Amino acid sequence: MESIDFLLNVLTLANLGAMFVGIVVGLIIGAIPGLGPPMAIALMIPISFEWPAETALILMVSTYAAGIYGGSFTAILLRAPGTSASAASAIEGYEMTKRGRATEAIRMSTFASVMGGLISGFALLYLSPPLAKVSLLFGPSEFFVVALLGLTAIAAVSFGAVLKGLIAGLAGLLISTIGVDAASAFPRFTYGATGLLSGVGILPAVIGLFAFAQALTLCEGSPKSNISGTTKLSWNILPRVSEIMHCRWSLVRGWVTGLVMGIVPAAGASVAQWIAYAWEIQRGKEGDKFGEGEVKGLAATEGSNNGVTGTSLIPMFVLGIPGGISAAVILGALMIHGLQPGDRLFTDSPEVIFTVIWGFILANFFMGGIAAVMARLLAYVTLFPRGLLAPIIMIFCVVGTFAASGNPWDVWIMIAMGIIGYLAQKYNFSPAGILLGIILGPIAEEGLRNVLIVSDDQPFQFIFSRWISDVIIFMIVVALYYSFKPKAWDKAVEQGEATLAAGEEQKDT
Amino acid sequence: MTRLMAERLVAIGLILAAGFMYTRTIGWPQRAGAFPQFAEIGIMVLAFGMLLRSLTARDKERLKGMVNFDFSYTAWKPIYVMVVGVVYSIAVFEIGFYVASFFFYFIAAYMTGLRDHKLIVLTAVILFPLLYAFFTLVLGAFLPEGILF
Repeated sequence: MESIDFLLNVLTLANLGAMFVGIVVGLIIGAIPGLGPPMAIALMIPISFEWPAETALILMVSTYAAGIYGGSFTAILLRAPGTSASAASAIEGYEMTKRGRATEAIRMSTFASVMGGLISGFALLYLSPPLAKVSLLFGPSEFFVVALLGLTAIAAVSFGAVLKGLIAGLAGLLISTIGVDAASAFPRFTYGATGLLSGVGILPAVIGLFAFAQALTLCEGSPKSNISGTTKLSWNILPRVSEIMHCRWSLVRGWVTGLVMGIVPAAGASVAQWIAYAWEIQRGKEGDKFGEGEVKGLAATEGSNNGVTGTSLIPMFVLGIPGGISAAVILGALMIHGLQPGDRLFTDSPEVIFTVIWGFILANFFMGGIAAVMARLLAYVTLFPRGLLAPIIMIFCVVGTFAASGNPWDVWIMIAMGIIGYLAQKYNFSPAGILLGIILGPIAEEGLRNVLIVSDDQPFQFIFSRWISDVIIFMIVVALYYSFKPKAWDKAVEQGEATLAAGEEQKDT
Repeated sequence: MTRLMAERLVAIGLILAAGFMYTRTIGWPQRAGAFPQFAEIGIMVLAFGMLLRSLTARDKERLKGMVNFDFSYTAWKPIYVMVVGVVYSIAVFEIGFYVASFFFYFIAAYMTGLRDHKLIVLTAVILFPLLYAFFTLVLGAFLPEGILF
């Protein structure tokens, strides 16, 4: 508990100021499709170059936490996730917005994210050394089966069209192989286009599949109508006890998923949210309406993506292995300030590292208040006419994609993914499945290749000889069993697509 | 065409497309084709499953009715905007981001059917200076330049 002493170090004007700037910048940049936390953190590096290390790092971790949460605003309000970490929230969150429940969705998102970040922060503070040892146990076999576990989530999030969902996921895997093969340097599916050599990035994919496709969907129906179907918004942003109690186990499942997935290098929030969502759907009860604005689904995804934020810093601080792109950028900042990750970071510079961790915890706490104010302003966009929102979203998709990479090909890939996403959604092939395939493809392929090399082409024997892999395989079997088993809540889906299609037409008119 | 027949055609189309892609990956060096082939075979198997399922009584009941072919402007509006969006994504790198976006905004807004001129212009007056201030001045992003700026 001696680290509590370092809490007081955070409470200086400079550190609190850095935290405030980080939160505001993170929320704004995170909310814009394309400009995720890595870019926001990278922008902070030159600004904080000459600051004391702890102040600079508080700025970074505050930006990171707020950036992940900020992506949820546009995911919920516009179905245009600001980051890939909030793509799953777009499903239930946007359905809630369409039904005039935007404020309720924002309330739940804020509570789940703030609490998830706080719990994750305390896990970072007290569990860093033991959790880091767990991540050391992960080898090629575990990475491969974790990717397979993520793929099983596709089946669960397909809402009654399991076969089409799995096809979409495999199509995503196929898309992820476009570009130069890392092992053989052979160009795959590039057809001579140099812009495709670097492959399809996650960012253009998530913006295209969700945001651009959503803009095209907004072109349908009356251009004067707004998304929420209401003309007045409730401003009660504070979460209600009844809402929290209703979702209490969903929140716990989301937080646990986030905490565990955070320590797995390369998995991160993008994978955690889907696993949490799939878990939630499998646990669904009669009366739950997943895919139609079920708040439990949103609670799980939002809890998981911020639950990742703290624990994803554990392998980075303790082992020097970044859990994701954002953590990699923070690692760069850490080293710029003359700090080396590892055990010595905690023994040689405890005043820096524990101050930063406490700064991260406080940033999550303050983020809730600042986000509540910003959410009020952002929620106004749901009152805009659909005909006006559509071109604005498209412009943001283009500028966000280009600003992130500076590569025109990324813009064209984003447009192509948008067209695929729109058509996939229209014909019940899950765009979420395609995205999950694209995210997990490189992890699964690298894991499989390494397993084949290490096991001398005896993959099954190798995989089953490792107890962590066995545990994860057991989880995959359970997840698949529950995916194909008819669920209590999806009786409506069972009644047939015709009924659903008719309902959609009625809603549009 | 019935919805059942459309489902079968989609399944056959997927099998053919995945099969064609499979033939392209044969002979790739150093197992570069192994993972794509895993995905392609998976798609063919699942699409075959779709086809088989469409022969069951359950699917015949589920996919009753006809495919609704509607060629009105309203039904095709997203497709037209999609085409304009593709043109916009090319124009951005030819005539510059701000100029292309300015024209695209008005064209797309009117194409959606919105006729509230005051709202469209007012939003543009706020949107474009904000875009310039945030992306160019604050973030220092190098957006494509062309004519004017």
